Amino acid sequence: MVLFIVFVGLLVLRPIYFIIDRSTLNNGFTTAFTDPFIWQAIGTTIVLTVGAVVLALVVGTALAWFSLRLPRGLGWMSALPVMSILMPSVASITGWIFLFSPRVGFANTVLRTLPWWSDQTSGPIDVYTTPWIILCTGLQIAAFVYLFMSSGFTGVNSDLIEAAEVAGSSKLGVFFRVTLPLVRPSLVYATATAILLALGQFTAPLLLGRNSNIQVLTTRIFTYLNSSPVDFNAAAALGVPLVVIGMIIVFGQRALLGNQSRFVTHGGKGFKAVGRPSWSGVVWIGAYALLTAVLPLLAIIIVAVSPRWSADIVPSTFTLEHFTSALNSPEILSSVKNSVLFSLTSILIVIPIGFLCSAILVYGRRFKLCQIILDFVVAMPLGMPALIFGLGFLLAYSGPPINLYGTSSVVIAVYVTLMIPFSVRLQSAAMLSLGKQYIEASQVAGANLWRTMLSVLLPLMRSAFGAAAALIFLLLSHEFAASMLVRAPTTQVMGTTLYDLLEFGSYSAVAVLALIMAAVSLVGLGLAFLLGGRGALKGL
Amino acid sequence: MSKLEIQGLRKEFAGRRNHVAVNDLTFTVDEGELLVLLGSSGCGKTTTLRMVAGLEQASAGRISIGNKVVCDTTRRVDLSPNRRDVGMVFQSFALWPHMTVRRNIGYPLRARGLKQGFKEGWIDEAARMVDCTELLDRYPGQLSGGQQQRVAVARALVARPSLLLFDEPLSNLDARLRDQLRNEIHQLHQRVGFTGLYVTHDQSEALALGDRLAIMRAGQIEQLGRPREVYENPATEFVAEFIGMGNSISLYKTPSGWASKSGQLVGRVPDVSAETANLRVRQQAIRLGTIDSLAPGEMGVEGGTIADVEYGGASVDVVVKFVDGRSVSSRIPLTGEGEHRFELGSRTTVIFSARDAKLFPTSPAGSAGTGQPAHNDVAPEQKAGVS
Repeated sequence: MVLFIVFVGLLVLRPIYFIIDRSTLNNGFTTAFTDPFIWQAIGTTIVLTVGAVVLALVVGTALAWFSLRLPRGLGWMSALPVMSILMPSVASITGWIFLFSPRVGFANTVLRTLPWWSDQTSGPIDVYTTPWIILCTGLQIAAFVYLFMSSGFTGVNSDLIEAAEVAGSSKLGVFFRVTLPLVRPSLVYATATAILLALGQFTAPLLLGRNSNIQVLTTRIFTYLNSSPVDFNAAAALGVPLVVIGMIIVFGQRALLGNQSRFVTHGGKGFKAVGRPSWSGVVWIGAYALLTAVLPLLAIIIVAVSPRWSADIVPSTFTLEHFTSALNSPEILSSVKNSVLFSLTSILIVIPIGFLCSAILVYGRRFKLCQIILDFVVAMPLGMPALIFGLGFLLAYSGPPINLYGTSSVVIAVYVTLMIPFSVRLQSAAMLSLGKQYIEASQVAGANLWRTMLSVLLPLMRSAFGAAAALIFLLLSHEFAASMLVRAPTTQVMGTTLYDLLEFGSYSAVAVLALIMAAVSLVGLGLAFLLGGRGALKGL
Repeated sequence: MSKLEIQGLRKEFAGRRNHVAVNDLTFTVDEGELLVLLGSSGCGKTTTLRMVAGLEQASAGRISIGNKVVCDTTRRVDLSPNRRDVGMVFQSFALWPHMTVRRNIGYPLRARGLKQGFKEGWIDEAARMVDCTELLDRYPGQLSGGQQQRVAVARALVARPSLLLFDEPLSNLDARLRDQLRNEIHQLHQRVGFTGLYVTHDQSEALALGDRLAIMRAGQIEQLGRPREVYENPATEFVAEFIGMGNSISLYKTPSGWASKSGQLVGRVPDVSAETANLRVRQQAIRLGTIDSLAPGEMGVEGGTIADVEYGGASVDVVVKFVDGRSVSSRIPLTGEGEHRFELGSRTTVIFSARDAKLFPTSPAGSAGTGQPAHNDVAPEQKAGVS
C-alpha cells in the first residue's frame, strides 16, 4: 500500500517539483517577470478570472435554482445546461468564432440587418476582445457550477425549507437564510472549482486572444514554449504562481469543508419545488443552451457543409466534400485514432488507480497518515490547470534519466494524472454510499480480502466504474491544454489538430473535426452506458 | 456451537477525549445459550459485539470462541473476522443486492470452502428453517424487510458457525413484523440451540429472547441474569428504570421514619441505612383510590392531583402530580364493568403493594442510580447479579 501511495505521489508531485525546480534556473523568474508584457498578462488574467467566476457563479446558481422549478413536462430541460459540457470546449469556441467573428460571423450578419447597426460592415460583436473572452469562459464554467449547485439544491431536505416558511420567513428570506447556507458545501466547492477553471483557462484566451494579442499567464507559458529558442525556465517561473494558488485552494477547500456532518441534509424527502413553477426558468435555461450549445453547433454544421465560410448562408451550395476530404486526411484520422487510443488506455490505468485510492480513503481507517497524504495528493491535479501538468511532464520526462518526449506514454501519463481526481471522486462517493455493511457481512461470512473485493465490492461498484469511465472519456477526448504542451508530431490528438487547422485558417476542416469530436464523445458516453448499466450516467 | 468467553474486554476510541466505549467487560455465553446485551444507544453493546466479530479492534482483553482464542491483546492475537467462524445478522440486513437469495445464503459456504454443505443441501435446509424456500431465486431488492431479515438469518446460520451474532436485527422492521420475527428467532433458538450473542435496545425483545440478559451502561454490565430475575429484582436503580420501573418517589429519613416531600406516606416502609432513597414502582402496579381502601401490605402516597388522563384501549394512563412537582404515572386496566372515572384536578392517593416496590438508597454523594437496593423485605430475594 505504501508503494502504491509513493507511486501515485510520484506521478502527481514529480512534475510539480520540476516546475518549481526549473523556475529557479538561469534567471527564469527574471526573464518571465521583467518582460514588458507580463504585467498586462497578469492584469488580464485577474480581470478574466474575476469576471468569469462572478458570471459563472451567478448564471450557474440561477440556472440550478430555476431548474428545480420547471413546469411539468419540461423537467427534461434541467439536463440542457450540462449539454454544453458534452460539447468539447475547443469546438464550442470554434462555434463562437463562426458566430461572432466581427466580419463574417453569422450572428453579426444577422444583427447587421437590424436598423441600429445597418451601416456597419463589421461587428457589432467582436469575439476577439476581453469582454467576450470573459463571457465565453464564464458561460462554459457556469455549466460546472450548475452541476454542483443543482446537486446541492436537490440534497436539501424540503422539510427544512417548509419549516422556515411556516416559521414566517418570506420566499426571498428562506432562500438567503436557509437554502443558501445549507448548500454552502456545494457553493464553496463550486466557487473553488470556478476559480481554478478560470485561472487555468487556456483554450478561450488562446483561440480568441491570439488575433488581438490578449495574453494571460497560461498563454504566455505556451508562447515561451513555442518561441525559439524555447525558454523552459521562464515558462516554469510563470507556472509557479498557478501552482501556489492551486495548492492554497486545495488546502483551503479541505479546511473549509472539514466537518461535513454539519451539512448532512439527506435522509429526508429531498428537495421538492415550493411555490409555483416558473416560466422564466424555461426562458433562461433555453437561452443558455441556445448560446452555449445549439447556436455554436449550428454554426459549425453550416461551416462544415458550406463550400467555404462566408457571411452568407447559401443552402443550395451545401456539400459533403469537407467530410470526405477529412476522412481521407491522414492527420485528422490519426488524431482521432490517437485521441481514442490514449483516452481508452488512460481509462484502463486510472480506474484501477482510483479504485485503490478510494478503497484506502474509505476503508483504511487504520492508516490515518496514509489517508491524509493520499487525500491531498489525489486532489492536486484538480487544483492546478491542466496546462501546468502538461508543462511539468514536459520538464520531468524530456531529459535524462527518463526521456519520454514524443512518445504516447507521456501523453497517457499526463492524461492519467489529470484524471485521478475524477476517478477517485466518483468511486469513493460510490463506496461511501455503499457503506461498510456489505463488506463486513462478507468478512463475517468467512471471506478473505480478495474474495470480498471480487465477489462483493467489484460487482457493486459496476455502475460507478461506468460513470467514471464515461466522464473520463468525455474529458480526455476533449483534452486540449495539456496535450498542446506534450504533443509531438506523432502524438497529435483531436484538440491539437483542430488548433493547427485553425492556425492555417482551414475553417471547413476545423468545423468537420469539431463535429467529429462531439460525435466521438457521444459514442464514448453510449459505450459507458452499455457497460455500466443504467446507473452509469447518474454520476455525471 | 461452542462457548464464548470474554475477559477484561476494553475499547477506547482515540479522539479529543479518549472515550472508553467498553470498560473491562467479562462474561461468558455457555454453549447453546442466547445472551442478550441490552442497553440504550452508546452504552457499548454494539461495540462489544463488533469486537467479538473482529470488525472492531479491542484495546485490551481476551475473547475465545470454543477452544479458539480469537483475540488476546497480551499475546497480540487478533484474528480477522473471516477466521473467527461466526455468523452475523446486521441491523441493515446487508444482503448483497447483486446476488440471488440462494447465492447470498450460499456465500459463507463458498467463502469457507465447505463443499460438504453444498452436497448435503445446507442452503435449502437453512432456507427452510426461516421459511424462505420459495424466495431462493429472487433478488434481495424484490423482498420485503421481514423477508430480507429472514434471509440474513439463514445466511448467518448456513455454515453452522460456532457463534451467531445479532446486531439489533429487528430494529429496522415495523412493529408487527418485529413481534413476528422475534417469535421466529425464539423458536429457531429452541430448535437449533445455537450459541448466540444478541444486541438490542428493546427491553421486551431482550426479555423474550434471552436465556440470560446483560444490561449495559457506560461500557459496563450493570446486571446479568435470567430475564425474570432481572425483571423482578433489578440490581440497581438504573436497571429498574430501564426495565420498566418508571415511577420514582423520593424519600428521606426523619426521626419517626421515612417521609416524602411529595405527600403523606402511608404504610410500613422498611428501614435501610441511608438518609435518602428512591422508591421505584412499575406503572402497572399502581392503583388510585382513597387512603381508607389501603389493604394490608400496601403502601400509599397521599395528596396527589390528577393531571392527565390518557385513554389507551384496554387501559387508561393516569398521571398524578404531587406538590413537590414530581409525578407518578399509573396504568389502570379497563374492565368493562365498574368503569373508572378520573376527573382532572381531583385529589387522589397513589396505592401499591409493598412487594411491587423496590427501594434504592441514593448515596450521600448524590450519584443517584448507582445505589444498590436495600437488603430488606421490600426486595427480599436480592442477589448480586453480575457474575
